[in-house]
Amino acid sequence: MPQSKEDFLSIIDANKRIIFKICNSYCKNADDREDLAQEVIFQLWRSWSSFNANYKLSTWMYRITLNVAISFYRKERKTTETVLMGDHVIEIADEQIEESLETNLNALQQFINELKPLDKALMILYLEEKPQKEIAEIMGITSTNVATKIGRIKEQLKQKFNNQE
Amino acid sequence: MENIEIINLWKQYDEKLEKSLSLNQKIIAELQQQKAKNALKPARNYKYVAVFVGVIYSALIAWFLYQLTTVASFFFMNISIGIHLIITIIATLMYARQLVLINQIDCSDNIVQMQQKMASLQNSTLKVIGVCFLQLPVFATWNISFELIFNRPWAFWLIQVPIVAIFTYVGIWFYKNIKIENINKRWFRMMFWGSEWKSILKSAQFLKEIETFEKA
Repeated sequence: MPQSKEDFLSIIDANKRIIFKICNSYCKNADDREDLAQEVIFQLWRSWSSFNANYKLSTWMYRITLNVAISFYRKERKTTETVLMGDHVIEIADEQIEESLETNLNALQQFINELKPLDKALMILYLEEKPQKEIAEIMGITSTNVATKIGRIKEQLKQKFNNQE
Repeated sequence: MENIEIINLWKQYDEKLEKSLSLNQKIIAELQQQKAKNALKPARNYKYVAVFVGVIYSALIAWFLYQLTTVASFFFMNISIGIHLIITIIATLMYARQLVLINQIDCSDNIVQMQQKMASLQNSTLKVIGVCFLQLPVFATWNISFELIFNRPWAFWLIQVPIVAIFTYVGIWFYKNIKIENINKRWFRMMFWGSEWKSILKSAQFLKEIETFEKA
């Protein structure tokens, strides 16, 4: 299957929310987030030519995005060469949202931020409603392990929200 | 809040993003033009320099050793330089192996596998330091000569041999103890305190985290 620049662009466009959500979960600082988003898109582009159409596109996409995000998160000096300083690869428009939704969303984001990098990946995949089998393939652990870990994280999350109420 | 409500909350977040996110195609086009941008580039460049310096330095030692081999009175110096050369070659090869590993890293591998490779790569720098410590005794043996052994045996046995023994013990001790299990020991923290070490130590801790994560 020929993989053109245009195909790539439409795939990134269709999946920009995934990239944004992952970058947002691994970087609190806006400049770092931009660097990470550009690094993710660049790595996706580098791997694009070798993408095997027999594999699921979402598995490939989550693997690269999460791997780059975790590596970036662990780096001491986060600054990388960014193209077009000041602009954002994924622009976000101001959107008014209900106060209660915003409060809950902030609490959820805060909970995700506090998780260890690998648990954070697992939690994002769970929230994205990925099947257990696919989560196991993305993470490189068994489905049973996925179920056990997600169960534990969910319990912590439930407690956090209950304490908040 | 129940699980289903949490999932719904995430969905609402997703819907909100659907309306508010847009791609900056100009930046994407720029990124598609770039070939050299790579998170691993600094690490790779540093290792290329290390291998280059290692090869040049090994060649110089080998040349020096070759010049000395004909002189019998430099027997102990030759052995010392020989050991120094072997350890320098081993350290250079370890850096070369790291370069191979960097080239094998594939972001589309599963997360545990790829993160394990990355963290092991950084962690192996600690091993190179350990190997380098093995050459410590040669800094106390290069000046030994037959003249010292036979004409001043007291100086050889009472001063030189204990010094060599101490250097050997210290070298082997560091080789065996420069490992992540000792990260919380005071001597270890004093030795590896700079920011460049911080990321190596963090990666070693992360390796432990991956191990725990793999277990159910």
